[in-house]
Amino acid sequence: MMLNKVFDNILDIPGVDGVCLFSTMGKVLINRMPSFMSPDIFEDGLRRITALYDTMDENFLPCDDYLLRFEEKWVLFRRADQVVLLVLAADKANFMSTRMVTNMALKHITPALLEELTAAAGLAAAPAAPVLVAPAGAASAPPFPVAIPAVVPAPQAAAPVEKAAEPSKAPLRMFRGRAY
Amino acid sequence: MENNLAIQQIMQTPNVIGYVRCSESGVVIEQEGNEVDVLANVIVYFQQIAVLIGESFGLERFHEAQIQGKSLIVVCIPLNGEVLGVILNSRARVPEIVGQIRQILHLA
Repeated sequence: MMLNKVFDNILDIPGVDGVCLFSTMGKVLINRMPSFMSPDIFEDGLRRITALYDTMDENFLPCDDYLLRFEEKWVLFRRADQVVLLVLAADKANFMSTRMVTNMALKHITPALLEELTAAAGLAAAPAAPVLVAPAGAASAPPFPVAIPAVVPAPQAAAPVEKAAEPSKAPLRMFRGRAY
Repeated sequence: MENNLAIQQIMQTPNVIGYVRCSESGVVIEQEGNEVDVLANVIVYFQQIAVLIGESFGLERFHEAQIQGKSLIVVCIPLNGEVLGVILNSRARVPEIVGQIRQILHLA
């Protein structure tokens, strides 16, 4: 995927430690953060960034780019229409170079690519749901994989997969980060 | 008093259109220039959430933020328990101005 190469270009900048692309709903679409930093760890950060955008849009001015400087690192987050690109870098990283390369990255994020990424993120998250549902319904109803093949073989098995994919398409109908 | 005078010098810096200084509790200590009323409402919240965002990524000691809008840029600097927000126009060269502000305020 072309976007992966663009992300590689960002990571090639000396001092850049990680890049992450997430939707304005807070779902991680591409994670190229350092390996010790799992999405669970910075989930709160993404929620706070989303809250920051909302608050600043409502109470100040709609601003897309924020740079936060800390003692040894800085965090840059840049918002496109439906996504936020986050860059984590060391102090020595060239900020202007990072801006230039991230401009390119944001240009590559087309609605079609975004749809693809969101679907992939949805599918990646999908296996978690049945695990939570299955034990609760186990006492009253037979487990899903056993019951369906016995009654109707193929068509019934395909239908739930489509249903599961639909919710992940729904958030795509957005304008400037807001669902309509 | 000395600090107040130093902050007022910021307005002499080219492309600076306003500044606001607030206490941690959100009380406006001083302000001057354009667009500062709106900034005064959000600057303390912004600083607090910036610190929290940093914590989420394991980062400590927040010392500066830049907010880039279409027509203006805001620089936010924590200052001895207070927050300083400086509004620049879009023609400003941010790193140079931040350097000048830090010099004026005797910050490293």
